[in-house]
Amino acid sequence: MALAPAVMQTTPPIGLIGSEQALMGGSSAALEALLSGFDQARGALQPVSVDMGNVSSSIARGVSGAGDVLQPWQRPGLQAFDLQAALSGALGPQAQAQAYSNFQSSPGQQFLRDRAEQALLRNSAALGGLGGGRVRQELQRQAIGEAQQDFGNAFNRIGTVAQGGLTAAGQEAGLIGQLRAQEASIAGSLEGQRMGLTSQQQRDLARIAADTGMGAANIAAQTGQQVARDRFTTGTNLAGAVGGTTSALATLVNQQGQDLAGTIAAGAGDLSNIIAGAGGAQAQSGQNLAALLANIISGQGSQVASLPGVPGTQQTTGVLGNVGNFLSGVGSLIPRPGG
Amino acid sequence: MGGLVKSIFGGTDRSAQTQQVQQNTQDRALFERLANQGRSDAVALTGAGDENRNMAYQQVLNLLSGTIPQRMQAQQFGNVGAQQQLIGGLPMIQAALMGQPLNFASMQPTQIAYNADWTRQALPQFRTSAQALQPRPAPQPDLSSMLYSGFGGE
Repeated sequence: MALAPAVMQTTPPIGLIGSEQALMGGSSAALEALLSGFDQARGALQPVSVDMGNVSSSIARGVSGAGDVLQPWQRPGLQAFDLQAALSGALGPQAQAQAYSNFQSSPGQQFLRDRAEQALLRNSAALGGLGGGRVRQELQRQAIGEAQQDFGNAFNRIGTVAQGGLTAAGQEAGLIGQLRAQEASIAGSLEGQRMGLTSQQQRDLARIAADTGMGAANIAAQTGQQVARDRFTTGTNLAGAVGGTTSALATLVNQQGQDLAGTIAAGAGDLSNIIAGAGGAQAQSGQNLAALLANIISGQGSQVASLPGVPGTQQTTGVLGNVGNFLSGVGSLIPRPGG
Repeated sequence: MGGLVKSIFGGTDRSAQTQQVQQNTQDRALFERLANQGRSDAVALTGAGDENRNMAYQQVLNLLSGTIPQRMQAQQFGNVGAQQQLIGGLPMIQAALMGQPLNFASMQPTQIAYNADWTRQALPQFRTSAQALQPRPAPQPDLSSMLYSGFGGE
């Protein structure tokens, strides 16, 4: 009965190939694990990335926030400073004239002029002299006086506003300086910390790298040794199988020769025995026949010899024969010594 | 003349002698004939016996001569088959050790063929004693040729 072919396709790899595959797989996995561990360690020991951008952004946001907060004081202050400078003539006559013109046409000055004019006109009407020259002079004088009085007040107020803006600008400058100082401090602190970690990390990394290299070398060496042992063992087993087979073949060939020799010897012996037996039987048959023929001839002779003799021609024994016969009978009667 | 002398002078009467001589002569002739018949029958029966025995021997020789080569052939078939199994197993051993696919179909049982025609044997056509004693020209027995027949020599 033919055995079903069993091609091992679904079974795990066996033999030297399977062993080396397993070894290589395990070795590769171990190496990958080592390298992965090394990468993880290296990643864990990477220098701390000091993100000064974030710090700077925070500082910038602080500065911007401070500016935004102080902006309502800063802008009017600056404008007030410019206006006060123009009114004072620090910015030149043209700027001063424009400033005055603007001041004269300002709603405040217009209000003061309208209020003074109405008051003068009501008093003049009560007195009945609206169209007189004095009225017009009085109106001019009153307008100039109030304008002068209000200019001083307005100038002082502008100065107050300008002072507020200056104060706000100073505060902002102070805040910016503080924030920049803090930024510099943080940056310096972080850099110092980073520099401190790097040396330890380098030592750790060096140690881990050495351990990893040692582990990889050990794995490679062990794998190579195991592969070498397996290959040697496989070769030895193959040699053993070949040797065993060769020995068995030699034994079989030798056995075949012995069996054939035995068969030949046995066959030759059997044939020889048969032939010898045949010869012996043939010889015995000849002897038997010869004996039989001799008996026949002998019997014939005896019968011829036993034929009756011719009368008168019988042979007598004579006197000596009779004496011999007598002595023989006497001797037989004498007992033998020791008998 | 003798009879007259014996009648006259008396003497020995020889008629009984003559009669006895004649009787003995007849007896000897009878003995001779019977002995010849006995020898002839003995030779015939012995020859038939020898022939029958040699036929049996020859059949045994033929049987052995036919079966001994078959024995040797069967031994060789078995031995060579065993060697082939051993040789055929080497690649499988190598494949198993190496981890290569194994094909067990290459391992097949071996049945040794044989010819059993030799078992159909029958007795030789022996000559019976009656056949042997049938009247036939009786050759003079040649003992030497009888002794060495079957040996291929004289």
